Amino acid sequence: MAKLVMSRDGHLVESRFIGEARIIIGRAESADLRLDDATVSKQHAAVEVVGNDHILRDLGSANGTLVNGKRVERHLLQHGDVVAIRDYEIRYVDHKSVAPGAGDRTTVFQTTEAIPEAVARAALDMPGPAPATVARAANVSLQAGSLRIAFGPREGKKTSLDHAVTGMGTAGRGRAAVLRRPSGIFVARVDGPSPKVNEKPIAEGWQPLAEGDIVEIAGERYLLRLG
Amino acid sequence: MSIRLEVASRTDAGLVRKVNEDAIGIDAGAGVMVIADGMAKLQGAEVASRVAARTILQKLSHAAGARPLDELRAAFDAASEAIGERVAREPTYEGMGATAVAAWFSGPKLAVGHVGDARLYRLRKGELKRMTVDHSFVQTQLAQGRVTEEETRQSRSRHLVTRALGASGRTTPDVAEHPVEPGDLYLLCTDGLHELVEEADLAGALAALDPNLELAAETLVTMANDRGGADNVSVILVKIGEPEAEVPVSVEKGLLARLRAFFGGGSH
Repeated sequence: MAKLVMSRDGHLVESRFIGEARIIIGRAESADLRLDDATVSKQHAAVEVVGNDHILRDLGSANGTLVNGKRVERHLLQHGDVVAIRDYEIRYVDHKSVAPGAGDRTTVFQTTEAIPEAVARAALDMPGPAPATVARAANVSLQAGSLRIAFGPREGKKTSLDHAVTGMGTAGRGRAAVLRRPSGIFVARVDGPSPKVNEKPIAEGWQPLAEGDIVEIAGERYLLRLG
Repeated sequence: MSIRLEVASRTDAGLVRKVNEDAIGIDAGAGVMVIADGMAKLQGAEVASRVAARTILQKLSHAAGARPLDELRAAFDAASEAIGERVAREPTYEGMGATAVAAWFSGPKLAVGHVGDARLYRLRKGELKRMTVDHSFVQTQLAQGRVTEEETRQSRSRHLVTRALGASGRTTPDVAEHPVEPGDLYLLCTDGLHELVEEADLAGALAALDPNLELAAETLVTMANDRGGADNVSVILVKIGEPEAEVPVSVEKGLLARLRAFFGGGSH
């Protein structure tokens, strides 16, 4: 079960489990998590329960809500997130997500509409082998880089590699593509004559590139810059 | 009218799991492509996906094509029944099931059926479109405006599907027909791909690698594994060629067909 652990100046103030109901955080007497600070709004923020997820929402507070140092309006809480409201720190702890496994495997519901949240939770508690680590698209970093045309009619034109895959060349004269991976930038022939890297034709499939390499395709030369 | 189809596919266990619980079925001559992703309470996930893919492939390969949507529904029902029969014979398979997507190309049309969160995408003139709506808990939440698209990707509920073949709950597929155009590129995939690779990256990769389907299929798997490879990943790519006046008849059985011809109107 997930919980919110609130501290102020490094001292524990309160710890509270998140159940089925939404939790109001604020200065009001009626707030579920009460923050005793005049600069905190009466109803400052809320934690809403959506299925197995907890979503933090700023309720239009005067002084804002930060998650891990960034101001947010709305944020899907992940284990270890630190919510900061003025002097208060609220840590989101969810031990189930620390040991991923059951929740990471496809599971089927028996009902289709208005799925009871208790069912969702029960489904997640099913046994299953736990993968050691689970990487998400969000925390993978791909090698950044840019290509500058070093020769040809479009000399000087620079393309930063914003997408995972970038195409180069023209139909008939040869096409190639570059691929950003965590380990670096790679190039491959797509169709037509093979691209050359530093004046040598390359093997089939993705081939690694290094800083300063010159890729030649369809009569143009591209200079690779990493970073 | 005959239309050329070019097909490439890959299936990979990913980096985390030891067993590949996905299954792929292709009959390029009949224009039928199926991908299934197995799941289990105890065991049998890889059995469920294979039974599902094989059953749907067999049913559609031999279907007349006169009423493709009914035939699709019947093929999915047969897959659920086949899974149920395996469970009846082997009690440790109790609770196994599979998500699946099937695309059936016939002349100028495509019939698609799916259950769960296996998807069909179409790249047309550089634009990627999702052709199926997941049967999943987060999709329901998204439709109700309770979560955002971005949040569904991070959600702990993202693996909860509301329909699956062989499950004791709903097994009915959604089915639809769409016109195809020369140059269209279709992608069938399991959640092992679309959960890890953002759609903008899928679109960019498909557009750049479209002239080389084998490289494109290989690259999609690489991209999923580069992003953690948390799940099995399977892809089938189908490119629609230019229509032809002549009807080429040679069909080499057994090979994964590239540039094979098939006939519309059920005459195959």
